[in-house]
Amino acid sequence: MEKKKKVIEVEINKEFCKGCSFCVDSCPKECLIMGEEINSVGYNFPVFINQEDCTGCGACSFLCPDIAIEVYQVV
Amino acid sequence: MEEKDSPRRLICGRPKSLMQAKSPLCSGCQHGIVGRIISEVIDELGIMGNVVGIGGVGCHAMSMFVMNVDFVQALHGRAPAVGTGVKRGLNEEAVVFTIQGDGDLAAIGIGDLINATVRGEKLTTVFFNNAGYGTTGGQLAPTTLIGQVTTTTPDGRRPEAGGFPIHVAELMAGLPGVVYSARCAVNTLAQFKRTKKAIKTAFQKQIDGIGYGFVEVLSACPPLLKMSPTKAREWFEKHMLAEYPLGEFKNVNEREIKYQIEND
Repeated sequence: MEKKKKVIEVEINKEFCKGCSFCVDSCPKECLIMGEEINSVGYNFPVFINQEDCTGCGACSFLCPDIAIEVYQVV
Repeated sequence: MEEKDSPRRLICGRPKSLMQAKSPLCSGCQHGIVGRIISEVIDELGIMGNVVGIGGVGCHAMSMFVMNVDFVQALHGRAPAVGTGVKRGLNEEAVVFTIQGDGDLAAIGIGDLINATVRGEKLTTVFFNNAGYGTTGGQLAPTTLIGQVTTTTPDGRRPEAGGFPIHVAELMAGLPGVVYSARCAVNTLAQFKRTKKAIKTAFQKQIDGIGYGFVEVLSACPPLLKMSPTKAREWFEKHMLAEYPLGEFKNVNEREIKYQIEND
């Protein structure tokens, strides 16, 4: 029986983000990159680009100093 | 997007005892992560309505503006003394924790902290160590590393003039009133989980009525170091972890009495 792949969604609250890029540094699968856009206080915020490789380890969310990232598993 | 409408389960996100508010801290300041860990521990222990926090003076006290629990603001360094009053005044039923920074706890408040353990108080202290005074503009703190440049030591801290960094977790482990003492970091996911376990144990020791729990959490302050958040984290991993060893220094289930006079 083939194991069903987990589908993970990462939601970034761009207004809470202060652009420290800890989430980008901590992601073991390089699923996040810093985006070009800026938020209302002038910081670049990360973009979730690689849903295929994301394992849902939660490193980006746990190591976010501003608690701007939420990780969901689609059931 | 079809997937957005399908049911989904939250793996990790904002804890219940943390408000939906923007963090007031600087970019790259890891104090926010420690505040989140304390909130997660409060949620997991189910003590949200029965917990009182005591905040010291400094950046670490910003956590009290986003945490959804009762807080008392103490004078500089006097959080364990205020915590003593709250704990005894509520007949030791409430869970009381203090959050203190390195200028607050290690400089002006070290006497209050040691005397709280000498009195045999059952409190929990979370010590935010970022090797400098962040709020007032980056002066030398007792925990500043040797050679570290601050506004009051422009050539780096020299032992002849500036002394030596204080290791509070080891100091606390030597006191008989303390039953748990650990030093942690929050730079990686593994360290995050160790820190959470340590803070949870320190709270549990208080809930079980065993004694004083102490957890020191190391972090770097990017504005104090005048570096970007990523560079500050690299500096932290290279220098802070070399000076301050991580680990548990004390974990006992009973307070030790070395000698007792037997009266008839």
